[in-house]
Amino acid sequence: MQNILLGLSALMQPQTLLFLFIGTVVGLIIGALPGLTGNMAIALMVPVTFTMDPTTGLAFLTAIYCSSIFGGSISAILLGIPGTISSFATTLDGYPMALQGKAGTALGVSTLSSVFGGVFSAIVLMSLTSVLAEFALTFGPAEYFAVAVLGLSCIASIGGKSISKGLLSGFIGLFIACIGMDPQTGVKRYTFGNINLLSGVEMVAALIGLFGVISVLKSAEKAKKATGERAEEKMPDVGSTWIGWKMCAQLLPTWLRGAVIGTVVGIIPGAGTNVATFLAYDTEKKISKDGDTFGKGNPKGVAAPESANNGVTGGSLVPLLALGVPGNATSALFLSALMLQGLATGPVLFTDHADIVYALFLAFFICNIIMAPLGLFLLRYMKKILSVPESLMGGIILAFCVTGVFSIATNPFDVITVIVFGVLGYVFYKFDIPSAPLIVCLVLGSMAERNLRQALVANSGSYSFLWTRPITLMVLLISLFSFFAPIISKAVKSARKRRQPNVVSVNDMVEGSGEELDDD
Amino acid sequence: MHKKDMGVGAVSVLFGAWMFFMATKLKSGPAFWPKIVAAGIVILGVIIFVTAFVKLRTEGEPQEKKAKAPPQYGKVLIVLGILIAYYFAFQYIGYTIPTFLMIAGTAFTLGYRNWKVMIPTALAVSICLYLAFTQLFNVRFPGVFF
Repeated sequence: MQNILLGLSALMQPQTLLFLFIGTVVGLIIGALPGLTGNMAIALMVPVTFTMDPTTGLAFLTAIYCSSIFGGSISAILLGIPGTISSFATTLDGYPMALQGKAGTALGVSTLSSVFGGVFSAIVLMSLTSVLAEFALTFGPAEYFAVAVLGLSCIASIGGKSISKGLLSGFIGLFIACIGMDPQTGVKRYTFGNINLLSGVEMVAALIGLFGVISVLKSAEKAKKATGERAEEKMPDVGSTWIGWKMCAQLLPTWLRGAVIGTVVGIIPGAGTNVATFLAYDTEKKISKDGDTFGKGNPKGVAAPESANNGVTGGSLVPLLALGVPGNATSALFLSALMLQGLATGPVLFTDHADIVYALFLAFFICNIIMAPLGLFLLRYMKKILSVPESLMGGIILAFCVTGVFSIATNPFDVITVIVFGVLGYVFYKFDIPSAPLIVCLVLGSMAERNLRQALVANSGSYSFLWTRPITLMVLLISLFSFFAPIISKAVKSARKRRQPNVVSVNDMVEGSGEELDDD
Repeated sequence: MHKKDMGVGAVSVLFGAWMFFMATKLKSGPAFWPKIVAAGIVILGVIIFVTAFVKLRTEGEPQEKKAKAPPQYGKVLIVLGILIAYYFAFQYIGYTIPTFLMIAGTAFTLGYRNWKVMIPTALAVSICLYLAFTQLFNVRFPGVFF
């Protein structure tokens, strides 16, 4: 309780509240614009948070994160194009509803579902993280190595279609993490004699290249001449967005199921928003009596994925804040913001900076609550916002990428890093290699190496700590399970598919949901 | 598709081998982890190559889905060229002018042709970014002009 008040007092500064507000608006707009993802917005804004105090910076990023996921549903409903990939499932029923003249209802449902999912996950985040972190305070290098391995093992599941390619992406991330001075002895590795690489690859620059520059390169690839009219004519009228108490009561069980699924999936490292939304949609379709009307404009088909995707937001930060291990690309971005502020991550963050952590929790609550009125207000201008063409945004995104990254250390070499990682991301994209595992491993690589070597030194070179320490052993066993589970389930599924070729599973839907799947 | 994957596998094996070779020149402590990573890359490369090869032999090359328009690699290269030119320009010329040119140039390359919107937007964004970063965030940009 004392911590909550501490966090509240840190958050209740005019500047912090202002940035919370700005972040929500920015997130809503970027989330709604197809082709621009929330992760990209967060990546571009991480350097800006460098100049703020930690509370303001993290509140700003939190607001962008939560509202961009909600914003994605606006274009999913109005245009049938998901603004972010996490709202792909929302198009299945949201767009048919809009075509039937019920766009207002659909938007109302998605707004309330998002708020419900977001607030639910914020409660879970707050209660679970502090317990986990307290437990994690007893961890030594051996346990941390095991936790890092757990994080790494999950990359098999963020990999998308091909597990081996996902792992390859992860290992390349580990290679990049090796660049620079060795953490223990200071020996130079893979620096090619470049002094700028001595302290390793600048992570924020790499992330900006992988999220920002790549989105411009992708739109360059499919560029065509445009003058500015895109969606204005075919957008349906919205009308009233209030859905009435009766409908709220009807949707409550759906919201609850969606929020639980979203939060749990969010906590599991590597699972991601798209899995959560399709799982929630599929579950709801199976449970509901009117399951056959899903896909034809059933409000539950909007409520389930929307409460799930905002449920993921809070859940995905649990492993990061409690253990210092990012489970997905977004939490890797949050980690880079924390590191930029010079804050130690993991359980020490709780003991050293309880005010910042609790302010972050409360920022989750507040932005989820102000998101609803702001979103409904912005709807009036949505036609204008959605008509901003991707081609005009491209240059602006590049300007933000370069300026932001340069401002961190005023080192022009960071701009080169951005360009190199933009190209790397584009090559990955062309060869169907997911980039999310690379990002997670880039962050986890040095943590795994440092702790393994420290543990080895502490054990005078013996590997026995891997099986003699109970927590280490347990976490390593879970890692083994999480590593092999997707491989086994894939094998089982393809065997089943051979027997019954007509069954469409959640995974097929996820895989079918577009090429830019690994953006989340 | 499968041929592409065979390429990915082959390149990974070569890359992993190079990484391992570089690690052998280091002392055993710092070389320990990179060797593990390099071995992983080689093994994954072999797996990817062999899987793709087997699939190519059994299924043949799958029909590529007909894309609406072929990817315009030329434009990708132009955007990269703009970025590299910008890297040099902003260090010697200054911030605002190269930024303006980059925004306008990228929008043009991406196919935007509405000049009445493009020019004022590029001007406004470059000036606002300059003011925000120099005044609010105390960043000093290199170059002769502002």
